[in-house]
Amino acid sequence: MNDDQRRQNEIDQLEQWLARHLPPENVANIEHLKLRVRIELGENWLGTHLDPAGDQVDAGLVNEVLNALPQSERHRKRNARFVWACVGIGMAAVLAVSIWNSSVSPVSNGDLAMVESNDELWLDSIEESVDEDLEEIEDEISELSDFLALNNDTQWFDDTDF
Amino acid sequence: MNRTQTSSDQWGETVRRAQNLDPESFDPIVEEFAPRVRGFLRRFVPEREVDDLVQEVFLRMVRSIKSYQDNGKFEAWVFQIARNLARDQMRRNERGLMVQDESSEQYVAPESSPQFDSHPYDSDAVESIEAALMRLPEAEREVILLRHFARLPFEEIARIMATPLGTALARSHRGLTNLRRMMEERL
Repeated sequence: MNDDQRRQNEIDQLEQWLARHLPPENVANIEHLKLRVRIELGENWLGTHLDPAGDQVDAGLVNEVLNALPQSERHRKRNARFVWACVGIGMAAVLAVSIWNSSVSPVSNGDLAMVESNDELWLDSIEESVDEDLEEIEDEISELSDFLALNNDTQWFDDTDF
Repeated sequence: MNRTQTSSDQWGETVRRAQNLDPESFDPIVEEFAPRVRGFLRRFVPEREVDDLVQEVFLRMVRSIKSYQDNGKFEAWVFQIARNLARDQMRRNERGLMVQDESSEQYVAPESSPQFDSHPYDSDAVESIEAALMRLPEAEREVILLRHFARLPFEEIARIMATPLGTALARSHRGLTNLRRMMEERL
């Protein structure tokens, strides 16, 4: 046995000794690691197909595959929550604006002037209509007076009837 | 310890499927190599960095699997990735150590965190051998661990470490002898 062989034998024996004392390693997150590898594979594949400089550009195929991916229940719930969250935020915004408008915005002099001018117009229109009514009544009374004066000598009815 | 180049037979078909980016082909690769890669890396970088580094080994494997030329040395290829990442991380840590020294802050030494509760090894002996391993020169430790976890022939280890075969053998012999001596002194 030459020196090399003797040394090789010693190494073999020492390695067997080490193997008896050095336990195998545990990997607690091996499933996570497998999943991470699959994600990397998917991303690589996607990158290859979406790369505008690549030879395999087929965005239509990629979109088709993406659209064909099953939508999990979790995704559906998440989307529903998102929609309801948007509706809620919108309603809250409308409510907040209306409260702000009603409580914060002061009544300006311009607003008062507009109300007063509208009131004057309204009152004017009432006065005009009242005046017209009075004129008609006065006309009718006048016609009636004329009619009575014309027939003053005529006994239209007997006082005894009352 | 019989180490033969069985990669071609054992991993050839799996590797070909992996090169076609077959997702299921990577599962047995992860199952086989994750514990071994972790065991190797844990003796070079702090425990808190090991899991991220193990993951990075497999991500790099995915990214470059197409460039791997199946020559029956898949295990060597995997551990070459692990070794390169470990060395990069060690350099980063050394820079961090220098920055900490300059700011006169105490550096917290990498903790050894054996996960040995589930097997019948003597935990005291394991702790001692871990400590002894960490006291070995880096090159000796590297040869020993590449033999133990990567199960590579010395010729392949010499190639990976860019050293003559005789140097790799000498490092292994010297490192193991010192390891054994330190353990006997403990007893």
